[in-house]
Amino acid sequence: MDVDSNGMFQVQPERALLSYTPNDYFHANLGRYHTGIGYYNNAYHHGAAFLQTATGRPLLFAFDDQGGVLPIHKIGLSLTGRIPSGALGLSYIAEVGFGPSSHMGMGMSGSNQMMTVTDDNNGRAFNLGFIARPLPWHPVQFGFDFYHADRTPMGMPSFSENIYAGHFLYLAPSFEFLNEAALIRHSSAMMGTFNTLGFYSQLSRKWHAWRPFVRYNYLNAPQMEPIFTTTGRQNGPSGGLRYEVNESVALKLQFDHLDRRGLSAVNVATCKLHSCSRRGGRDQ
Amino acid sequence: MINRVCWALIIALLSVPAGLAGASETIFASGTGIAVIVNTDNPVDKLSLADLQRIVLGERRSWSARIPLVLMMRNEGSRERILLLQKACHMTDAEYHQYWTGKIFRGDVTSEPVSLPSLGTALDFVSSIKGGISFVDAASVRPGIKVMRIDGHLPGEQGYPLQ
Repeated sequence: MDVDSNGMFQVQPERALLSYTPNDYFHANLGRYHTGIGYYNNAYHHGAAFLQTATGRPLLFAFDDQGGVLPIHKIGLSLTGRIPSGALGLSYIAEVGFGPSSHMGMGMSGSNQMMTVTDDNNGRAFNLGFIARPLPWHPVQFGFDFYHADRTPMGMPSFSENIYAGHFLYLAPSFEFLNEAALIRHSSAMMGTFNTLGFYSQLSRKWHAWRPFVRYNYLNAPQMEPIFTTTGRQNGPSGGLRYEVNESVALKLQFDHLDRRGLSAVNVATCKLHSCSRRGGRDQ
Repeated sequence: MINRVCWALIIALLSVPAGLAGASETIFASGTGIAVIVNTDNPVDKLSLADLQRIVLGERRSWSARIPLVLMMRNEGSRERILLLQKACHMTDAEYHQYWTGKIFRGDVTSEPVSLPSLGTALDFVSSIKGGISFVDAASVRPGIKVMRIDGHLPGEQGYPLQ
């Protein structure tokens, strides 16, 4: 449930899926899903803040209604499954859905422009990705995604949006090393090409109930980028400590420093208590 | 200043000996080990320890395109469960529980695997469900149940990983 700018409560389903999973090689999901770009977006959904090591998502994977640059949600068809590949441990992701709608009005708010059931044009957005979890290198995981959509913002020429994303993870219960990067390329015959680059790297280690962590965020949109007009360059380190009170409650302390192009740097200290039950999560 | 603090934290995270991190392992008296049991109609005879890990973590959910895999863990605190999680997943019971909470939140699954309370129910379950898999003390295996080779070894053999 969200609160809009008028202070009114709105119920907004984040995911609603019809699933068909006959075997490991073919999982089909139809409905509103989290796009399979990278690792973080599908690993930590709404209401699952407890499961995240840090207090929030990396800048690169900020929710699309909170200034994020990646298409976090889509409405359409998502296919996933294993690829018979022995020790390579390959799997695939293939998604096709409504592309982004950059038009305002018609009951849509600007913040929701990436997740509507309307599209700027006839072309659908698609995402194709491959993930490898090689058995000899367990628990290493790496993968690559390619996403494409066409965008036609109101009063502007059409843009082709291509996203190239890659990740490399080492995910053990007591040690976590997450690295993800994405290049978002907007190309137009009339306005040229604009490359927005983002990445984050996160390292954490668990000592019993304590888990100190450090993360570095980087997101850089060109000054003349026509779609990410307010993103600019933002980069800086974060560090913190997570303490698991019990299996379902975690106390997190985090300090963020963010340098911004053309603006003063921001320092933020955050303390959050995250709880989790099988019926849903809660932040305080 | 901030960068220095972050670098110091990174070095600290990487330099502390691994033995100080994570939960301590429970030591069991060595015996014949834990047998991975399946139905006799199951076409699979052997698994690698990595395959077993994928099964226990719910990443592998079918034996073949037509035979779904039905995982039945042993109850919390049992020797079979603790040893299996230690050897195959390098996890404690609490970490395993949290892992499945994540899967449920992601929508990958609807529930954590059911835990069987006794040896008898584990044997009965596997003998009646074609795609079933469970874990029992190797000394308790009875006829009519197939015991999987893990990394090429049966329980009691040298090199068997679950003992």
